[in-house]
Amino acid sequence: MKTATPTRHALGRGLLALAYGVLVTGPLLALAIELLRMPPTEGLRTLLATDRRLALWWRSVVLAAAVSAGSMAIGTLAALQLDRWRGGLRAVLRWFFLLLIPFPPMTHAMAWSWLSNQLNRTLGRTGLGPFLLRGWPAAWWVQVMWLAPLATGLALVALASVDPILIEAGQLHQRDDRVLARLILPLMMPLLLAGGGLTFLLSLVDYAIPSLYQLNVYALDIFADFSVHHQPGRTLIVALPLLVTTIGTILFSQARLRPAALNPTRFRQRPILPDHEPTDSIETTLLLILQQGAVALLGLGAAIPLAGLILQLSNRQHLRATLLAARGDIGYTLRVALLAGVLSLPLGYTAARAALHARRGRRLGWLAITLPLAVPGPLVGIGLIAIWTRLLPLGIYGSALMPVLAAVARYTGLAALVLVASLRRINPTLIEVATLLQPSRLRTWLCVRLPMLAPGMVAAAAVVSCLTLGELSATLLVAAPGQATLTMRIYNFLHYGASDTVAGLTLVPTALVLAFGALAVGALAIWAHLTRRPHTLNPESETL
Amino acid sequence: MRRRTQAFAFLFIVALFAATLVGCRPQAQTVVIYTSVDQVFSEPILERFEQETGITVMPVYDVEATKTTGLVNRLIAEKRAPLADVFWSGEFAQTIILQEEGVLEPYRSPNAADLPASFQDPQGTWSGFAGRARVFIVNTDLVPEARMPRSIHDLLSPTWPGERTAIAHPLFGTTATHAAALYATWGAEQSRTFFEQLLDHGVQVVDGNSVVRDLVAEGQLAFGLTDTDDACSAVDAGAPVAVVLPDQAVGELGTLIIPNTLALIKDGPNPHNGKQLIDYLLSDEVAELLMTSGWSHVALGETSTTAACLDGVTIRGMEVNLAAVYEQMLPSKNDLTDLFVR
Repeated sequence: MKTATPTRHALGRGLLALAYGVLVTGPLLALAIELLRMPPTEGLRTLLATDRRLALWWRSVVLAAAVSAGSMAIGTLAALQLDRWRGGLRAVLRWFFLLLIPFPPMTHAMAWSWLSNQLNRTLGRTGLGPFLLRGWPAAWWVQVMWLAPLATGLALVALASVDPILIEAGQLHQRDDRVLARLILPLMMPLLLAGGGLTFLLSLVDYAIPSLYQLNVYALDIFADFSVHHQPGRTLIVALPLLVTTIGTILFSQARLRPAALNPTRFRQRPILPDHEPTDSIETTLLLILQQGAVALLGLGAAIPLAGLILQLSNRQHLRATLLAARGDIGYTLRVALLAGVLSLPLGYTAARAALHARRGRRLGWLAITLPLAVPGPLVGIGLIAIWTRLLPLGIYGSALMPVLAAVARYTGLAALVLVASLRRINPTLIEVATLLQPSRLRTWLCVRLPMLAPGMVAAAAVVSCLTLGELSATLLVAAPGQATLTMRIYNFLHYGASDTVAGLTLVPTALVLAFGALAVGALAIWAHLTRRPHTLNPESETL
Repeated sequence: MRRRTQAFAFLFIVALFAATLVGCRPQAQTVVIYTSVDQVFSEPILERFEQETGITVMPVYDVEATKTTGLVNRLIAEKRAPLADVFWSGEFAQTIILQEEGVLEPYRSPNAADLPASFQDPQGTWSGFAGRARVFIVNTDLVPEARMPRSIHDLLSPTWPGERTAIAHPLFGTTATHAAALYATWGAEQSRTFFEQLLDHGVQVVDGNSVVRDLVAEGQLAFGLTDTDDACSAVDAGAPVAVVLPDQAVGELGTLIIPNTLALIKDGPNPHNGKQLIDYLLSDEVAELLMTSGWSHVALGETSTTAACLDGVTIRGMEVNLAAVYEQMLPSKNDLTDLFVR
């Protein structure tokens, strides 16, 4: 019995790894097979970067870096201010900002375009020329507004990893601005850099916002090539510079994360920077103004999309009719999102464990997590068709399960990244003790490991479910005939120009995202309340 | 033991949930159609077909946001195990791509007999019907009648700074088809020069035809080049816009008429129902429905008459062969990628 259990355990892990290989990295492998069918000379010709592509790639990298820097600066300053919001309505508002993290980029783009139109109408009435929202500044601004809530969430996590005892010691001798510059920011830096890597990646692979504001980026060139040649293998080669940049960014940010593993998130009763009167010094006053300005920008980034959507609704009857007509799509979308969230957990956990703890193939684990994140959505769809029609013709293709598989292929890597952070915070000594005392591995897993991982799992499932609600490019290629997700319906009406219908429909995923987020936050809060006991060997701090 | 039972129960529920999704498969009397025609126009017609025949229609709709990489690539990828029976495109180039890829099955519908030969495939692989046209949408608050653009060359006129006019990205959608038609008519050199001049003049290149419509309707632009369905939807919505057919004088180029196209998918699961649906969509009843609903504005016949939005005038189309336009798609897109994606 003692020898059979590890064997069974290894078999289970092997099966999960196989499932990850098929469901998450499978589409990429199928595309690689397509690549082999190409004449090597054509592949080489495509691979060789032209000046045009090099310039596009460089512009995309610069834009992504600027967006990442902007959103992380706002996020860090806002986090320092939100850290002070610890009672009453302000404590609730703090979470509200974070619930806007999974808003799809097009919602932001539509909202800012709507605002610009309103502004231009007013300018037109006063005889002034239109204010043109386009080019670099527009693409940068809208992407920053899209990513600022995420950056704030990451900065709050970074802030939570700072030991308050060190800060208190520093504040005995220095002003707040100096403590921030010399102590808090350096301690937050590993996690801030990791956050910077993630926001950089999200900006780099997005073509929708830059394209809307007439800024050409490398991601658009990938679509242009696909629409010209219709060869997935060739398009994969065109996408290679973005794949390499993405992998490099994620590996770099993960390397920065390692020291953070030693500093579990702490539950603090007090803010890290106290509420000073803004007369301490000019620098402290300036710091406080910057923090409040960052929160104001965050509020603006949340208010504009919500206000834009609500004000575009023509009347309540129309909203009711729109929602009734789309109720089938709404129910289906909800099922797809929930199932994708649940399925991504065991797969993401397997990859996260491999990336952190595998004796061999740790690098392979990291590659398996990062690579699928950088594959453009349409290519994921094409890869899925190849797998389920040719390599594994099991009758799944053509079923309503395919959008779930598309979401799993696209977003399980993100779930794995969340779970990597979660696994790093588990004290291995506790697991070792539990393994010695518990009669079975399953009980150890269910009674010890799972409770410690639960917050990370809730967060990972929520992230995947929310992103699935807005997935379009891969879903469109694999959706079963006769069944559409809500996002497909929204984009169809968007082209028609039915702004009130689009606003009504967009409010649904917005509400669902808020509901998923609220559920996740609620679950985490209850969890924190129930398990408020030390999980680390540090007796002076409580951990979440 | 209780925990293990709970774990298995959880897995069972997930599996059952997944099974309900896998189980959602098409019914016996069905037909599957992939269409790039806006859902708001095509859905009522497909529902009418369902009511008249009792055959359930399972549609998949394309969206503009995927930059025409959607359903065509899906059909090519599904070639060995097709799910679709019918492809209904809002234009013709994508259909010819599918023909070249061997995705389509020839079918000559009896209802296509009266349609002009120039809009039909000689082998009967696809049929063109219900036309749209490339038009200018002009903001009437900004542009007086006397200064309305009359030719696509007016996009280069010093009267209008480039930043007040727009075209959609010429690599995607019907703007790409229009560009290929210019390449087929003028030749590569003259066409490239024209597009270089557009860029030099500063003409805005925006994300799609619907964006051109919105920017003109909101007064951010004076005029832009788009499709009739986009332009006429702005007229119907009461925006201060007019629709102008370019190059209509004698001896001028004419404008591109873009037919909808229908084709049967090779080895589709319901070929009989697919043919029945094609026959229905090619009927006079549907042609009229498409005109009244606002999708099609050009009746294809000996002369191409237009819908109310275009004052019912007879339209002068570009004298260009659809196959010749298709032949220019790849070279023109390669050329224009170098110009416009940089």
